[in-house]
Amino acid sequence: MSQEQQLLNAVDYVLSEAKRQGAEADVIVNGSNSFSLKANQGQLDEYKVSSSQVLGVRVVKDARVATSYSESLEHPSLDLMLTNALQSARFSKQDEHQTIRCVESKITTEVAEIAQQDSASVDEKIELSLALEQGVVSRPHASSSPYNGYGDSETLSIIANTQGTLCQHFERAFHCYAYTLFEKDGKQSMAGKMSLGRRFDELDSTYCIEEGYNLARDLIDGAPVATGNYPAIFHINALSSLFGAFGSAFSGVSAMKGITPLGDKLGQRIASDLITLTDAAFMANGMAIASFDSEGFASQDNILIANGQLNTLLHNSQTASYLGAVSTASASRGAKSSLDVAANHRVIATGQSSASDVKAGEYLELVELQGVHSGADAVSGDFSFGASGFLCRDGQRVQPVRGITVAGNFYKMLQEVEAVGDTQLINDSRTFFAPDVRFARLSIGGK
Amino acid sequence: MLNSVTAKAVIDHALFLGADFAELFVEHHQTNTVQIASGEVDKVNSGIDFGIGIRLFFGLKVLYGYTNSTDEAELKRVTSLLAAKDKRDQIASAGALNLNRYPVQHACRMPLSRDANLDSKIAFLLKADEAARAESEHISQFIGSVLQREQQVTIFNSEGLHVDDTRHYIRVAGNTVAQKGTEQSSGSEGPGALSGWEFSEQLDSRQLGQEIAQQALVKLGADVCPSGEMPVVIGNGFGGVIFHEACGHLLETTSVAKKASVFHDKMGEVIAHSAVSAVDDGTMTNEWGSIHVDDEGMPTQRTQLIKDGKLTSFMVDRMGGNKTGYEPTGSGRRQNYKFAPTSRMRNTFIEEGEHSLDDMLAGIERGVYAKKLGGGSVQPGTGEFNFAVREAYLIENGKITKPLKTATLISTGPKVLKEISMVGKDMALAPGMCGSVSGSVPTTVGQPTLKVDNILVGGGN
Repeated sequence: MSQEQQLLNAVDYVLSEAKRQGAEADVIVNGSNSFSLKANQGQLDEYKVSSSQVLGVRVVKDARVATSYSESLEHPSLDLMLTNALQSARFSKQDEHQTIRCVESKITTEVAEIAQQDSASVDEKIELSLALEQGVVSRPHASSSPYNGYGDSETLSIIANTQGTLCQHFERAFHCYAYTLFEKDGKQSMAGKMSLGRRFDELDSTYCIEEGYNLARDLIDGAPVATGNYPAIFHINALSSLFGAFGSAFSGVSAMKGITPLGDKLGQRIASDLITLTDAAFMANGMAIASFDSEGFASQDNILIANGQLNTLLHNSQTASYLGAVSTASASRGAKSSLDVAANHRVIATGQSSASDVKAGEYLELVELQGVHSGADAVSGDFSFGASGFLCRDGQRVQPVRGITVAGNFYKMLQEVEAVGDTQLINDSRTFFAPDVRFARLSIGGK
Repeated sequence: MLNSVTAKAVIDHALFLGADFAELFVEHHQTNTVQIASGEVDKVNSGIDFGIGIRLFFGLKVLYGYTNSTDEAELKRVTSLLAAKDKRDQIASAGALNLNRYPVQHACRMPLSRDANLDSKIAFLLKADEAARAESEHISQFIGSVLQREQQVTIFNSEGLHVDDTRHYIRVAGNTVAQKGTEQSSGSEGPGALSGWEFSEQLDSRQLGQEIAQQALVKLGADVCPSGEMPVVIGNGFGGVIFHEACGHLLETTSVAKKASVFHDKMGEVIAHSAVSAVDDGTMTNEWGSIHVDDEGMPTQRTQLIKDGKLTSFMVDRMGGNKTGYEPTGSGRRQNYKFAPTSRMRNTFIEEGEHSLDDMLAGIERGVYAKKLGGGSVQPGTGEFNFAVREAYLIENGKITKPLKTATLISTGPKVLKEISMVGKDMALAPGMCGSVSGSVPTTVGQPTLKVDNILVGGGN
């Protein structure tokens, strides 16, 4: 029996059992296979092969909701999972807003780009892995490539419910990355880059090696700038991290709980009119393409901020019902988690400013942020991160900068945009698209 | 779980394919989480993870695979797939599997597998919610949760090792939001233990709610934290994250073996101020970061990392030991069967000194008292680290004067270790989750209050 058929059989079993026990339910089941390699000192250091599956159920009984999951698809394990979920639901509050709403949805993601054949041999993958490390350490002052690797994975996801919904999504992804540890005159600097693709031959190992190496080399003599306020432009990867840290600000779930200050700002100006931010379901070369959300509704594009004005938050059917809003088909739920919301691709629209306008005069180019996961308070908007980058003038890097902190308030910063570039860039993870955005002032802690 | 006959057959197969060493890590992991928000039960989640990790050594190369199946043929198939590129004549033979027994040091009276105790957990959280909201009308939200896990593992290896272990984890988390006008702030705490729900008997739910509420309230209207280099007094307990990030990760053979640690060649040398002695101890009874045996089946131990400023030991896993020549320290850990183990921290802390908080404040004209820290991260190759300050106060002329908003502290490991000039006598531990190459594992950080003479503070002024 194929893996797909095994998963479908498990789905059928759980849904029919849930119904038999008087509950409505939806299930998410994932089956995945992956392969990865790491190299060290010219040899393969790690060779990893995996195959896994997990099925998660969300039950609604007497208007009470609970979730449970199992990594075993044997019937006794699925029975136990369902029993746990139904017993847990008895303790939940009655929630008229969280129901199994998606009826008879039959969507299969049919985007050929994301499900291409893997035609590369294991030998080719090993060769790439070794070449990544060698490509780094063969360069002057590159003492090692402490982090490097190749990986590929294929994932089949099925979402189904007791209302007749059955949606399927299959995708294959490839990635490689390499970090350079650059050492010179007793100083160290480390930087790395990652390449993602939908085919093996789409991976750009040269980018990983050269861009990571060049950045580590260019930062080696970095020093703090004087403490003060500076105009700043974030590298696309750093800007993506920043928006990721404050992603919950746009969440209908956060609004429902009263923990985002944007919850009551619909229709109000929350950003400079230069900013338009969209959650896009499909982007060419994007790595978050999906035709349906985690409830089974067809994915759609959602304009979150239109010329500075808050247009909508991200909603699933529960948050939309609770807040009296229109759902944005942004339901997000892993097999092991509860119903939430998430964006697909976040896209800041291009503006009118040329590169020379955006980069006029003196500013800080922030290429790396450290501690983003811990230094951001999405409730207050306050953030403070370690950072490195370059002091620039008229688009030219004039001084490498390390050992600084960058602090500010996300919500205030959105209103202090001086210019938005006219060229779209994409982050390494291929989930965030934005031009250069110049912020008027950020507080920099340095010497 | 997996019977030892099947395990032996798979290990024999791995050695037949030419592996130097073979290991099976079998895991059955039960979880349950209950969360309240807005004074009601918001979520109840549960689940069971089950899988088997297969690790082979061919020289210094690690081959790793995993599956959810206990079927011998499937396990052998994964093993063959792993060894396909390295297959050679057999050079090692497997020892007979002998079940190792050890005394249970971290007892558990109320395990998840017996009862999830949802009534009791919900009552606890609602009490904390009530206490938090009673602190002020400005407390607009309380989100509390209890996560309980029971991880059963069986480890077999080609040296004849057969170990069973059960790890019981419990963690209570609380977050508050305070709101005044358009300004919002937050507070959080997350006590935890290697224990069952009986851990709640050590906790005062009302006090917990009050503390979290006060953290959020104190930041409402607080001044922006100053920026620049200055002296900082770091509070006890979770303040120990400074050592975790500044030094701990750099002493794991995961980075030492690759020479990706600035301390890789400093064994026996002075790397810290003489006031600093530090330990990584997996033996502390029922502490969050403790273990009976590590995820390679080796009994845990207390490892003196730094003594009076001198580097005395690294944290060493099996492969790290093979690569560096240091003896394993029972530090091989992993999140679950999906990860090969690497050297990781357990309960890591700076030992007590002799100073009081007043001693530390006395010499400071202008600085910051970082009473509570949040998480952080480090770049091992350069030692550059950062961590967030969750609750801070301004120090002026030797006195704590007013609360401050969020800030970040950054420095490098080698530098900050030499800037710690005073260590207090109020040692405390605090639980956290540590992420690294072998996933996210429970670790405890800890320290007494200590003074750092000079560190870069990233505030907003």
